[in-house]
Amino acid sequence: MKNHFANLSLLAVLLGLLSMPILGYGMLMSYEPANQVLSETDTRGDVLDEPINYDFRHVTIENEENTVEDITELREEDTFNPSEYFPAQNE
Amino acid sequence: MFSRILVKLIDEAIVPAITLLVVRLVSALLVARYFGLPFSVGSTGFIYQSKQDFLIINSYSTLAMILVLAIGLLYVLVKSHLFHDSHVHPHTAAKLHSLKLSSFIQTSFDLYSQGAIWLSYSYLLLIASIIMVYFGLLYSWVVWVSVVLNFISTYLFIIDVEKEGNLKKSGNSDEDITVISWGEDEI
Repeated sequence: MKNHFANLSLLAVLLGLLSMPILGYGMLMSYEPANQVLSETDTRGDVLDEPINYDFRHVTIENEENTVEDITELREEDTFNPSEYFPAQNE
Repeated sequence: MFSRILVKLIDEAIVPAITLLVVRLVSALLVARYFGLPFSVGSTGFIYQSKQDFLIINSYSTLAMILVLAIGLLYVLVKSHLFHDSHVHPHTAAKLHSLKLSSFIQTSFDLYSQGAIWLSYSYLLLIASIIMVYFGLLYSWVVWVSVVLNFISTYLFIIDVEKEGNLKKSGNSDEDITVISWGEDEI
């Protein structure tokens, strides 16, 4: 029985030796992409210094029911009162 | 009692293992320098900046390992075909003795254990290469170089083993083997 254990341990050593160059081989190298520099026009991920001013002038209203007058009315009906939300500032 | 074969195999495996690792390291450095590819050294070894850089260096580094394996296998195969004690040519044996190179003549046990180790490394490298090609980390032509090396070396190794087997089957001593193998010799 002792012989078997001794030989099995020898076999483990042998397999370790055989796999050493191959395993070490894979562990020796890796690649880590550096921060990619995108094109000048590509601002993905950038922190904006100024708020974005959306320009909807090019938007056309296709729904016939919603005319410019309707939208104006909707704006007039807008009951948003900043003082309700920011009382401290008004005081 | 330790197995004699296992002890011998471990003994024969140490030098190729260290050689292959050194070749891997040196070739990675040289290839990076030759192609001018930037890299850094971290806790995980060499770190390259892109997958393309890694692909180039990994491929040529693996090729260097295959070439070293080819040299090792060639050395063992030449010894087993020309300087095998069971069928070494008498003229060759005499010449080696006169040059005090009789250590080149080796027994089947020595030669086959060396051959088994070098072939094992070669096949393990082939398996690793196939896996790396699958993941796009190695050029596929590197695998074909490895396949050709494995094919030729295995074939030549089998021929020698078969020659040895035939000699053993005939049940002759070394002197008789010389007469049978080289019938044209006037011995």
